[in-house]
Amino acid sequence: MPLLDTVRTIETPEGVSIRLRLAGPVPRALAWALDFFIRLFIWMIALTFLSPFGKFGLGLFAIGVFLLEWFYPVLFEVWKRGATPGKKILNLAVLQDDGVPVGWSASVVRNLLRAVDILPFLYAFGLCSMFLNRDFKRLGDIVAKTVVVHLDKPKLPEKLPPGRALPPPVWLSSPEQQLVVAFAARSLRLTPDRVQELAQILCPAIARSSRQPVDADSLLGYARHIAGER
Amino acid sequence: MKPDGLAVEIRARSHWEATDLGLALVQAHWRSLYSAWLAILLPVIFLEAALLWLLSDYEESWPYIPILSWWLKPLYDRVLLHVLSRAVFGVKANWRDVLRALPRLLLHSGLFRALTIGRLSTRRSFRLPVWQLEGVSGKTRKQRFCALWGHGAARLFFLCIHLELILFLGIPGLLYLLLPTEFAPSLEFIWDDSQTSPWFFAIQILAGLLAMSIIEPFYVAAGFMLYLNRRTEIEGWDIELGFRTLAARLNAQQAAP
Repeated sequence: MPLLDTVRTIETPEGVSIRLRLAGPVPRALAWALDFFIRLFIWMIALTFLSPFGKFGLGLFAIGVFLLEWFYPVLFEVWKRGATPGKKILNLAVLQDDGVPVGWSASVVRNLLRAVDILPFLYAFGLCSMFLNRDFKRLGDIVAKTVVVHLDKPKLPEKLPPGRALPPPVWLSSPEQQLVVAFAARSLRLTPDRVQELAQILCPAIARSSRQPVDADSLLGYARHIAGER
Repeated sequence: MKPDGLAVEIRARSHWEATDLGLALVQAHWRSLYSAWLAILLPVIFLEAALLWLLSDYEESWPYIPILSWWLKPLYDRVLLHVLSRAVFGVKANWRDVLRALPRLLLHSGLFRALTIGRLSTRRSFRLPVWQLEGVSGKTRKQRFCALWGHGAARLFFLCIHLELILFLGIPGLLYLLLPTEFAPSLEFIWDDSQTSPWFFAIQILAGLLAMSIIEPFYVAAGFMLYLNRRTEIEGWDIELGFRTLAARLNAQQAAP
């Protein structure tokens, strides 16, 4: 049975697999609220400047509200790599199902269907749709074939504990190298007992392969070597 | 609890991603979750109604049923977490397992505290696993709370309140939208005499229970996933699992050169 995760893997025609980390209702609701407050702020400024012009000003304001409501998400999604300011703050982005950036037609469709998702009160339909859909899509996403994904990159390893760098005595693939570096970076925040415990999982295997004694400190040394220290 | 044997992918996640994983967990195990949910919620409502009927003037006191049902959320949370704590290991618990575990959940998971001073805690679902699954008490438990702390738990709580409120207001709104216009005037008494109309109350209560039934399992699952994520972070579970795979590869290579 595959392990439960929120990642969808997409195979491109070039044979590269892309991992999309889907975003669910909670961060998306917050991103929407941030966007809403940004638009509210713009409305208030516009109203302050337009209200002295009487009915003409209010008419302009109404046109402005219409344009802002319908095109704010579309323009940001197409021109700003799938992210409105609210999504940008939360590191979310809209992509097409196959992982390519969202285009005009998909963006227009998914945002026009906000008119359905928003029913009957503040995106209650959209919320129910996200709960029922395995890819956390609201109705607009289903029709436009788009997904909202997390973009935040795993933080680069912080500083490694200082010490001597050692070349690893066995061949390690790139993810395995990253794992050793992650272990070294994390060792500063784990309890010393836990660091030893974790090292004891790997050390005997490396010692057997390389026929030399290996302990937690040597793992840290490999990490420094992998990270480029000499 | 140990990371081996988990049916959930362990990797370093942001708080938001952990929250989303909670929804994936609910989707994958909705049958067992909702059978357990109904197995606890329906008897509780029935008991409340029976008690109020026996002890007081029922006509006067029945509005307490929804309030009590809402206040007892920590009780349902324990039942949900019982199912979820099996689900993360790929074991399906049904309502019979829940009823068997119920005495332990009632007596040994800090339920009294959760229903009194802990009821309004914003980290309720994040801290529940410590109460219910870790089996620690006193000073050790306090230290656990300090170590885990609960990043992202208050945000989750705040947003879930809003989601529940949206559904609570949206369900009556949907009913109103679906009324044919020609019937609307004859049904306006539901809204007009909202202070007295039993219809209005009935719709409100059903909407409240339905909204709670939709959001609460997700809230508990998301809090549980935030808890697992935090333990992954402070105990290096992702590294442990990665090291095991790497050690297995090296050993296999050594065995068959």
